[in-house]
Amino acid sequence: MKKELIRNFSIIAHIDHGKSTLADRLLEATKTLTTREMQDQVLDNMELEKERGITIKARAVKMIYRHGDVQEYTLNLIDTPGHVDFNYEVSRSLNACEGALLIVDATQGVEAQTLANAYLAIDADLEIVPVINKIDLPSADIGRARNEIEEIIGIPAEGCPAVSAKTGQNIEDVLKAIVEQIPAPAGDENAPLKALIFDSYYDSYLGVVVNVRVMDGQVRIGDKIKMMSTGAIFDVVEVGVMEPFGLSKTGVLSAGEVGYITASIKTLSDTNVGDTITNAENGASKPLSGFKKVHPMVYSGIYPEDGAKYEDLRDALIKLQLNDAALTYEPETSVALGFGFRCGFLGLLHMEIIQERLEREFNLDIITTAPSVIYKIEKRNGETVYIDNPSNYPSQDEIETAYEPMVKASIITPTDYIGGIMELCQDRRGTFIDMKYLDKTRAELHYHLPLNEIIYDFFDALKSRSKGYASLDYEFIGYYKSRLVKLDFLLNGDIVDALSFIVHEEKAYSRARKIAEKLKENIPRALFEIPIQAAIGGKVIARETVKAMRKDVLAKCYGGDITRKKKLLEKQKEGKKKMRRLGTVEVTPEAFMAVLKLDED
Amino acid sequence: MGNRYGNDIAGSVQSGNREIPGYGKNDYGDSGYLKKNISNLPDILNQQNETDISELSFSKYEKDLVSIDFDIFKLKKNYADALCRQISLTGEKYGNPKISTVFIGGGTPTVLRPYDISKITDTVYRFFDVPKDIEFTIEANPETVDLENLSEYREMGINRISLGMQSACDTELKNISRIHTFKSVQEAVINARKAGFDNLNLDIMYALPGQTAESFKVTLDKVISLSPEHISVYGLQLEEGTPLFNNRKKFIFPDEDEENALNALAISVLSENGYRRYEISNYSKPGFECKHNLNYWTLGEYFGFGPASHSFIDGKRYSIKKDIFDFCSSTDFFNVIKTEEELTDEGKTEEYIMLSLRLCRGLSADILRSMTGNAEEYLKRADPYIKEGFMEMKDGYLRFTPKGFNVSNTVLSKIIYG
Repeated sequence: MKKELIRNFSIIAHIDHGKSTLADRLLEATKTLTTREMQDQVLDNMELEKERGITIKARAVKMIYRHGDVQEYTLNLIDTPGHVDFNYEVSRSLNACEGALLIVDATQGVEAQTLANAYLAIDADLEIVPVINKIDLPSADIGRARNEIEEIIGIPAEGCPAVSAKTGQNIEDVLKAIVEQIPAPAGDENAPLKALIFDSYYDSYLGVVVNVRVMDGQVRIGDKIKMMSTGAIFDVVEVGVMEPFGLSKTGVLSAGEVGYITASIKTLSDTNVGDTITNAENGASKPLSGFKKVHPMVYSGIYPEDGAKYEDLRDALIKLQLNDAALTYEPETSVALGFGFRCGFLGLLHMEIIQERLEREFNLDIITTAPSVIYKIEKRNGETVYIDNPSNYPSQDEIETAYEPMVKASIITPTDYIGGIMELCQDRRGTFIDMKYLDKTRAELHYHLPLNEIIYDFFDALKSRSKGYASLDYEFIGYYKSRLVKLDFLLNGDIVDALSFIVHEEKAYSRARKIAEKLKENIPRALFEIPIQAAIGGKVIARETVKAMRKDVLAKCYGGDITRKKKLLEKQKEGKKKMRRLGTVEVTPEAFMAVLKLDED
Repeated sequence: MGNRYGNDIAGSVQSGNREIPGYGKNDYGDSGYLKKNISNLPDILNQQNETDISELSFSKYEKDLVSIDFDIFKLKKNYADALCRQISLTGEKYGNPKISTVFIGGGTPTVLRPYDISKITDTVYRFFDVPKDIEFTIEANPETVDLENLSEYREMGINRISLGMQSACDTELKNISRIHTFKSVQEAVINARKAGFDNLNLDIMYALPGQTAESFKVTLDKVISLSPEHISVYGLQLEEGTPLFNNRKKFIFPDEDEENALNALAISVLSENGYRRYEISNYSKPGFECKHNLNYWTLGEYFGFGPASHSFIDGKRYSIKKDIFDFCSSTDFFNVIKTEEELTDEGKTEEYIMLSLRLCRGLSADILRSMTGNAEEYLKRADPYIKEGFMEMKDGYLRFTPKGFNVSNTVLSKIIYG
């Protein structure tokens, strides 16, 4: 295939600005899919993605477009995840392209992720084609959106397509712009193979399917290929391109093309996103730049509600990991919760997605402990340790210096809410960096925030303080010195390990009090009084008491109607099933989850 | 006009319990359970009652329906007829079974004319084998009785009357929407005695809105001064959907500790005056325990009639739907059955534990062992509660202490379900 007739592009956007809908319309307009075949948002084919309206994993699809009814072009759409947790995957997908459609919602304008994604695209040297979407809405303001693109992002938007992905209005303009503005891929078919892995997933028949963009050279069935980061060598079994409903064999992929490779690869860990594939013999000397191994940023314990479901949980995690190399897990034991797993996630959203998938797709009832970040501890004995589980936190006198991960957060908000948001960031131990007005009504704030302050309910709090308008983006900037303590909770005098967490010294007291109160609200009363204590080391810093139940009796049975009483007892029995026994105390799963939600105003 | 008021008709429920010869009439022991083995033996019928503390069905009708083209008298007649129809069909079906108590309940069955009540009692006598002088109770609101109708009830063979006194304090009565006053209770008691009732029960309540320890003490003193043979003491339970629940914010309710203190006051004052607590909420002079209710607590069987009634016959529990109009128009009453449940051995065991522990005498370990192979496991679950003073084990009986009764639901569910 002639490289001149290929266009590789991504679509980038802030969440909910209509990325998936636009993708659907492009598939329809190029007759890649007929309307009849069209399911809504074909690219987001996980049930959860549909509901949340976000794309979790990158996907790619090939379209044929006849430009001006003369020349046939191959358009490879490489879809990108739209959330900050998946920033690295976004950047790899972008590196597989020459251009990007930057969608801006005509009613919302430029948002934090619009900016963040635009910068990623600029960093990747992409030709950016702005597309103003949702022009069918009454509150659409195309002029304003255009101005924002030019002023805030700094790219020309004059004459850019203004469309309604929902109704299909002006979609043809987008296709034209792709062909006319996005450059054809470069690359040398005769050079040694260099193929960028931008996605991979596990298929039970084919093994790992690797999605690649070939930068140089060619790859064919039977070739011996090598993963440059691991050195692993495989024999290519199948080569082809991605169609909306599946894979289509072509036998060869050349420089400039986007497609897939299978090679009897058993595990995803052999196919790291961002890695370069080359020939096993006489391969490229240097890999493509930008590869890094992704590391989880947030950890939490996941336990089956019913201890007997431990094996089921493990099987589910194995299956999830097949398609999600960023998810890590290892067995852990909690006195309170029994056997479970310490799981690592890219971020909070990633964590929530995994939780939901476990519950929905695998029908598991799970308990998740408070999320934790990884702390870096320099011990007095000179050792440096990274702690992802509060249970392993060294005692205070072993610690020389403690460090916590810091992020640079960018928040875009209508100016009305600046005060509340600054207060929130202040409260979350943020350091103000700067603020600039994007226009009369909106500002962008930059803060350095400890990641552990974000993984609680920062996003919810931000939304509630800005009536949903503020948007957030953040990136990890390194480990910063901090004064940290481990906070334990004791019920009836026994430490509940699953409730322990690491917190900044200054926050310990108020958080201890809040959580003790939450526990009090959520622990059902028993026949005995239950003391709740929050302690740092041996020192109790907050206490509450769940009073003993003194009245629980159905005095009357009416006219031989014993069903009421029976129902009452059965209800107690049902409630009890979910309870976890902690020595003499029973705790609901809700009590654990309540610990996570702190900001209620 | 549909079923708008269906829910308020908790209605008359009558039930009959089966008697086994050989178990003494006055021995309220655990004969009920033993009866279950001999299901073909004759039975008893007794009419028994429903509704919680909210006002009674028919009076409610009269209040709410004055302006509606609706013949309350006709409804009452139809209702009595339907009840008789159900009683006769049941008596025939089970072959004129012998019964040991009768209870006409449902809150205020006395809103029916004595003539209608007599039709009901006549039907009972015709279709059931009713031995002489068995306990035969009618429930009444004090406001609905006078010497005349009381005498008529007595003539019908009714020998026990249960009056809903609730409180001696008229403001408290008003707070729970009762139409009667303490004065009307006094008159009703005098008239009942005159009419020849020598077995009388008064219901009183604690934890009423506005009630204090002082006012409850007055209620206790006054109920004792009326010297009934039997006193029921119920704690108010706020039920969602009742008028009182909806108005709950207007009142101050005693808290848990105050509630327990009120109950403790009742226990001590009543026992000082010769009333023995024999069940969670019931007290009597010796020999006047309510046989009808004891039958429930000992897993005895019974026939129930009327909307919202419950029956336990041949090891099966039945209940009838609430709707009075459906009930009145039913011919065979199959269409108004709401639930039907055949008890398994396990279910029976669970019920035995749940019900027998309502009695002060408690649960017989021997009977439990005869019912299930898991008896020891159930009994073992009681150990921590015995240790903490919520229960005691004496002479082969496991029972709640007064402190344990207050939290009996929690303990029961642990004993039954582990």
